[in-house]
Amino acid sequence: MSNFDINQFKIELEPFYKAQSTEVELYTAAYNLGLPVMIKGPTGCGKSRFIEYMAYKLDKPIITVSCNEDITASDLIGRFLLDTNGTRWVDGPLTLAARYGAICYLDEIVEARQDTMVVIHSLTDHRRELMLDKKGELVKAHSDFQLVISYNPAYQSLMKDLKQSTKQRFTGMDFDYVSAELETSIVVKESGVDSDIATKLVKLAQATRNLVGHGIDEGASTRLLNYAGKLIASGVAVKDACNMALVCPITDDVEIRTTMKSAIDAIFD
Amino acid sequence: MSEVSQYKPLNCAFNTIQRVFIENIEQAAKRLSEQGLIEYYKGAEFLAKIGQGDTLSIVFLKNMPWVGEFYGDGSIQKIVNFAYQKISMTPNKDAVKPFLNSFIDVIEHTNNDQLDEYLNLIEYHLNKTTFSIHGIHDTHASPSLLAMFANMHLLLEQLEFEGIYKWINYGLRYFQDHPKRQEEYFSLLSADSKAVFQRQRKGLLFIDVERKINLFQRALWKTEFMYAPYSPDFEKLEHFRPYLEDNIIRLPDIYELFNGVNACNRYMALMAHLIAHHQFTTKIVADNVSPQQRFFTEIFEDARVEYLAMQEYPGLKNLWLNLIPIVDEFDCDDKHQSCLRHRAIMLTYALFDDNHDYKNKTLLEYVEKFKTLMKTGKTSTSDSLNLGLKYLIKTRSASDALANMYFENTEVTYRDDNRSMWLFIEKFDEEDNIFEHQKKSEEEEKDKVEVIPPYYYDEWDYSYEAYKPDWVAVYERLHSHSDASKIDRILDKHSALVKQLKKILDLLKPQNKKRLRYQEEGSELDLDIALRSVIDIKNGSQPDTRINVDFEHDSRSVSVLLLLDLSESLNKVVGKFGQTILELSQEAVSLLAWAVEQLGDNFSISGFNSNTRQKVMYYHIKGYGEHWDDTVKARLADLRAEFSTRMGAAIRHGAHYLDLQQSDKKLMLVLTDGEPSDIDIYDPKTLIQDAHKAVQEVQQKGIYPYCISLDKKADEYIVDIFGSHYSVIDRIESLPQELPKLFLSLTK
Repeated sequence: MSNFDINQFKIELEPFYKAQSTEVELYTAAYNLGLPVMIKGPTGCGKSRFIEYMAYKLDKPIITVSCNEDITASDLIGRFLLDTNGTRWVDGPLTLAARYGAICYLDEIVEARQDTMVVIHSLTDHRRELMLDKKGELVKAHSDFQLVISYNPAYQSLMKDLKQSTKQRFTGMDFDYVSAELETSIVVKESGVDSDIATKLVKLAQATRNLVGHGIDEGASTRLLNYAGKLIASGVAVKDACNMALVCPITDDVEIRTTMKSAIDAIFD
Repeated sequence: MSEVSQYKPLNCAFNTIQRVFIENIEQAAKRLSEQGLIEYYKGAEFLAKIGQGDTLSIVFLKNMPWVGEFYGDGSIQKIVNFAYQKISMTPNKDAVKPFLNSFIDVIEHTNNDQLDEYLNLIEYHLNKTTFSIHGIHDTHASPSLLAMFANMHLLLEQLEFEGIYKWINYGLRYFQDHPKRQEEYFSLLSADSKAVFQRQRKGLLFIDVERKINLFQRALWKTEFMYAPYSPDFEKLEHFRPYLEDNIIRLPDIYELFNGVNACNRYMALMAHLIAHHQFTTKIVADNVSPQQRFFTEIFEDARVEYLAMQEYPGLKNLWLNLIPIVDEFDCDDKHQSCLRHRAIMLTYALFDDNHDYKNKTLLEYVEKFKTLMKTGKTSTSDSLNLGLKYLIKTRSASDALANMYFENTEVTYRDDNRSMWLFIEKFDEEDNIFEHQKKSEEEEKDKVEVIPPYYYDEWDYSYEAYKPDWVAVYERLHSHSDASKIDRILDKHSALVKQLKKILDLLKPQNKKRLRYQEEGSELDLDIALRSVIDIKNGSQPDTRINVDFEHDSRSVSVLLLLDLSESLNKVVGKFGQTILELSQEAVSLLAWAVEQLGDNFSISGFNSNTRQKVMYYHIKGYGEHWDDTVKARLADLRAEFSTRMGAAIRHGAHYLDLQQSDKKLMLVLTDGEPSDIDIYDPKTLIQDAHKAVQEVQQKGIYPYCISLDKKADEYIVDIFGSHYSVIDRIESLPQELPKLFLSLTK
């Protein structure tokens, strides 16, 4: 166990990320102080990309856990396994990160059940320690350890919200769709289309975002724009690409689809 | 007179006819073939001799040159024969003149092979409406033929022949025996007539695309303008243009396919144009600008805002392009005609699209000026004014003032009346304030009692297998209230039953259990998963520790509407205690409401009765959001029974609200004591069939209808309405016991 190499979790190639404002500085400051960070924002606006980028920048390993409602506390902390000689303790991702010093990123934390979330409490306050009660060990967090969670406020319902006691252990950062120019430049960089098409794609995405609450739950994300851009760059006809990447995935409503088709027709002549 | 001599004289003694003949023979000779001309002579001579004076021949002579030219040889003869044999020889001879006159509209709106179709239509109507009494044939003139002729242009313009037949048939079906109403119907005066007419119109109704248009403006411009559609046909607004004012868009309620552009796209084009104005137009003072100057300024302004809109959304061009008419540059003769509109439409097109063939120098010069201006990127409405004024001065011609105006194909249908760009400082009636009369003065408003306008529902006519549109008016009211303690006394009286019900309720409350698998801790071991974990362990891989199952109570998700029949018959006294059915219903409903409140289901109570189709009352007694408290009890205590039972409309209206409830199961309980009936209905089957149709509609919405009938003879008709969804309570006295039990068994 002691020869565990945490560096395998380091990011080797620099992920493409364009800062919207001061988020890089803010995050760096929080990391240096060991403060847990909570990142909110709609789907596909660059939350995960940002964390990866920061891990690269700070040259720290990052362990990502995508949460779902079947995740239990022991999936995070670790558990005893049976083996030929009896039982053996295996660290979970959270314990690994705390023990060896990594950024632990819990993606879409609201998806996890309430009881699961409570285990992170002792790591996120002044104690910075994790009690492995089954093993009888108290893990003191490594100085490089940091906990980052992300969630999408649009999904929030009565059933799925973070408890106040959890929320108030984090510093928060709001992410939103980036400004049109920035998004255009991202699409250009990521997908390789020219800036004229990228501008129009962004316009189309904004059209879908305007319809939120009128039959669309969430507008087209930057990620989808990149998909559309990549399709176009690979030679797919523009309108087909838009339909495939930006209309079809986000709605099943026939009327919204026709509206989006008209919007595509209006934007791309 | 020398001119006349080249034509054969008309053999007719009326001087008046001879005079009209001389005026028209030249046209006739020009337009008609030799054969046609012979028919023309014969027809005019004949019509002067059938004993109706000179009028027929005069109308004939005036119209037929065009009609004969349009329909070809033989058509004039056919029309004369028809006029004589089918109209003049029946008591309808007054209709011959309007019949002949109607051809002016008929040739405008029909194809040249549709003469027979038109004649058949008239004959059909004549035969159906000319009625006889006591076997004396054709004694009475059709009461509605003249009225129909008066509206012929509207009918032919808006409807296909098939639609006209449907409209006629509807009128015949309901008003054949009622001459006065029939006339009203065929004059397009009555609401029924208009409703049927509207549904037969060609084209796409705005309400059918409203959501799409709404999403369209929201997606592209984030705007949320409301709509107030108007009917161009009835309000005589054919030339009325859409506009945007006070955040409300006035637009036609129907659009047809136009130049290959479908109605939905036409609405989108209109919307895009209006919003472009909204974005880019600023008001300028109109008082010192003449109407002609304004006219050209508006053209530049329209082009300017569309140019700007297309900078943002280049695809709008395709939307608009096919809606701008193209005219030939030399089509207008400015010696005899005013070419104002012709010049305007050419300019409109040239400003919009570079692919035009116009060579006019001034035009090209101004298009160039406009483009240079737009390229600077800084423009305003006053630039349009500037260009418009100058362009008018450059192109002005003396003939602009001529009354003979070139009109054809010069209107851009999707553009508004541009009222948004003009500011009138002095008051005068420049705008078309046709909706002014609808705005009531404040005092009038004050005098009016607040009432909710009625809802209109269609009613099913089983004998014709068709809906009667907007037939029933349903008025919604909160039920009046009295002493709530009356209901408490009823509950006290039935305390034994209440106790009994409580037991059933307790049994009902823990509803179905829902199994939760994959639990680390739970009440039972989930063998499947436990086995899987053991295998995992044997394999040396990580086992799933969540090998238990747990159980959770599944919550009830039921919405219930109890619809009470409050018709007069409920006042009947039944049973040995001398209670009326109404009192028994009251008791039953109180118990039921109490029981449902215990269960916590989403529950509402409404009552209905009717006094003809004009007045179906729908009373709210308990709303879905309300609790079983004193206000509700007070309303229930004040129940009154009067009038009749028009069940279909009440079911439809109840379903409207029940449909809005968010729950898995929706139940509509109808408590009634007899079959549907109303005093304006003579065939008892009509309302039964309508109620049946309403039940079907409700089922399509995912609602489960169920009828509790107190009519011992209900078996005769209840199956026809509710299928198998009913119970008949024979001993009405037992209703208070039966109703809650029935409900509980239905929702178990």
